Amino acid sequence: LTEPDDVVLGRLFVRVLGVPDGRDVTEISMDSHASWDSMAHINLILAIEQELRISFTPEEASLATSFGAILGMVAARR
Amino acid sequence: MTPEAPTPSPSPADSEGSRDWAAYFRNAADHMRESPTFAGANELYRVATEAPDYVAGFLSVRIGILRNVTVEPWIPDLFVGLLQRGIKAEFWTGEHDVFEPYGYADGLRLPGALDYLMVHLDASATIGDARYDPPSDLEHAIVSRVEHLIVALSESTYAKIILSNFGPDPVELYAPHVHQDPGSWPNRRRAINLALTERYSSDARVVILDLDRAISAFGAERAYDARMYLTARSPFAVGFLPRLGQALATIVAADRLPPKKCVVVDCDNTLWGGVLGEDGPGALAIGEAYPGSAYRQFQLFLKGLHARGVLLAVNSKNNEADVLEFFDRSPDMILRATDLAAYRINWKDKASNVRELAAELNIGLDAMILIDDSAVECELIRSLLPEVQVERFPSDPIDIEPFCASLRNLERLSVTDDDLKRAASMRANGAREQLRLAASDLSAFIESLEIRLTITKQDRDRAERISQLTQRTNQFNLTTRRYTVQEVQRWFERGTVYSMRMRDRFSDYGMIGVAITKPTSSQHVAIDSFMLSCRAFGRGVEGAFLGVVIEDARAGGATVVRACYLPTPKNQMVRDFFPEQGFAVTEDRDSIRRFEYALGAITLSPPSEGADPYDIERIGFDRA
Repeated sequence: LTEPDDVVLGRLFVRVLGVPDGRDVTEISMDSHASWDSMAHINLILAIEQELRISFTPEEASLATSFGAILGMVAARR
Repeated sequence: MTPEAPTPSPSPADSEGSRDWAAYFRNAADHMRESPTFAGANELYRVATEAPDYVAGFLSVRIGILRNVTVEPWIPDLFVGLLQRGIKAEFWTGEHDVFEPYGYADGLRLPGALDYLMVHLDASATIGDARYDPPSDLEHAIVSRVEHLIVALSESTYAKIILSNFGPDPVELYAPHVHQDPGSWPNRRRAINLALTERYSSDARVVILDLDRAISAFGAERAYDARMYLTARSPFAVGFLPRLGQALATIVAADRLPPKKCVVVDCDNTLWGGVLGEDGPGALAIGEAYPGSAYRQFQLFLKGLHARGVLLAVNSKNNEADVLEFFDRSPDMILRATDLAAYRINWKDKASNVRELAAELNIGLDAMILIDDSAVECELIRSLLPEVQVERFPSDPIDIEPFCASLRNLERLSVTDDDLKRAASMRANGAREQLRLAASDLSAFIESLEIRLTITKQDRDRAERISQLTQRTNQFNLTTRRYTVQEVQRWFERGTVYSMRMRDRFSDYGMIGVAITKPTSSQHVAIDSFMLSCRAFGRGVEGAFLGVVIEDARAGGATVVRACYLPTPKNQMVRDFFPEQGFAVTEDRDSIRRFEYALGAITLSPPSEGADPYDIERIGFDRA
């Protein structure tokens, strides 16, 4: 039984960025969420890679600045 | 399946607005041991920033990090490593690639109240391109930069400095055929590391974090993430970070937590393979051939602990005479009966034996590690004596070496001479016991010991051992105030630190007593701390020590000496120590007892004066 990627991603946003439970994570981007700064960005990317056993290229990592963008990159690997 | 959060996040809406942080941290630390994930570490660390400074059962420390790489991704795993040892850390990081300016008064300021300052000079950023063709003076340049930096930092902080050494880095993974060349970077790196170890091995203010060992043990090829280094200047792969956390936690735990003093081992299927009583001595597995070779490794491991001052004891269901004979007759045994500080070899239950061993060795149950191959015995001790650290010995001899490597709480930052003497003096206790039986009464016994005490004032060279005594002494300790080396050094400036060494006919005990006093006015002196190591109990030397402290206070012009007793679960035995020495009780509450000793009268003798059966030598008492 595997969970859908968006559910796993949503949970990682809560755990790493501290997005409050219940908030719609699909709306979140680096510009709109204060705790998602450049340091948190590194940690978020590393956590996603470990959890989903994938690896982003440096170019992808720099473009992965919203929930939607990240979900798209994950989907492209499935 | 994705592991869930360490525990449900404590919600701000908890009833009464308070959370059980201690339970939360314990659960989270256990959970992270079973499934260490980077997301879990991040969540735990983020939630923990809301925790209060003090959480019951956890030691709070503040750690600063000076660095020339991006260390922010490490911090959650550093936090988790420490939390798993019962230490709750707060972190501060210095500006990127800024070191020396934090060491000078006109430079940048370190936060106050740091307990530790990690100095992480990453090889790639510190030495950089020179690694490809190292200049001939590389070692000198690096070591001298580190030395100057540490001198400067020591001036600007009381924190203990944790200096990372240089790990094998990606450059040496792909550099071809350089190992035959002594001038190559991998060989120079080893030389630098050795020079740093030699430079700081006896400096109590600096501890080396052995990054070289941590990375080698994990595997250098897996430890690095080239992509993260090139894009974010963060060299390590996430999988390595828990190891880094453990390496840091080992240092802080060894520095701050009471160390284990005694390892209690079972015999059958632990010190050797097989059962002595059933198989007979000839059939036991111990020696050069497998599986005896695995048990031999274990005995060598224990022998190494013994050499570093850890006491060894045996707790075994066997016939005592058979076991002792095997210890001393078998040519394959590494341990001999003389290596044991005590033993209980009988058919009684093992929990009672452990209790008796603790009493005989005069140490707390929480200073003991018990190793036994039987799940039943382990469970028995765990349930009856929860203070004892119980470790189940592996049933498969192949697992013995990893078992040794995983044993926690045996690390020491430094081996002091006193550690080594302690093992010898514990053995001499047996001979002393015989003499006690022969002497007609206690005072005759004490006299026959020919005790010599050396009391030194402000022994600045021995701050480390003085700190160690304040950290380790539980029973004969009037106030149980724990001081780091830096704090002891501050006491030399604002008070008087007395330390006492003891020798007798049988052994040199090393430093066994510490007293700290401070003037509270021109005529009043207060005793801040007064303690005696358990090895020196029962000889009345505490009275002589107090006598010298009081006499010195009087020589300094004091008319009143004040003291107090702060009760703990372990120091009941000294509740009445000061009244017994002639102090008047001025306040008597459950949480504190205060005492006073008036020195006014010219003729009044300090306690125990004139009645000493001891030869007392005073060092540093001249008031010139």
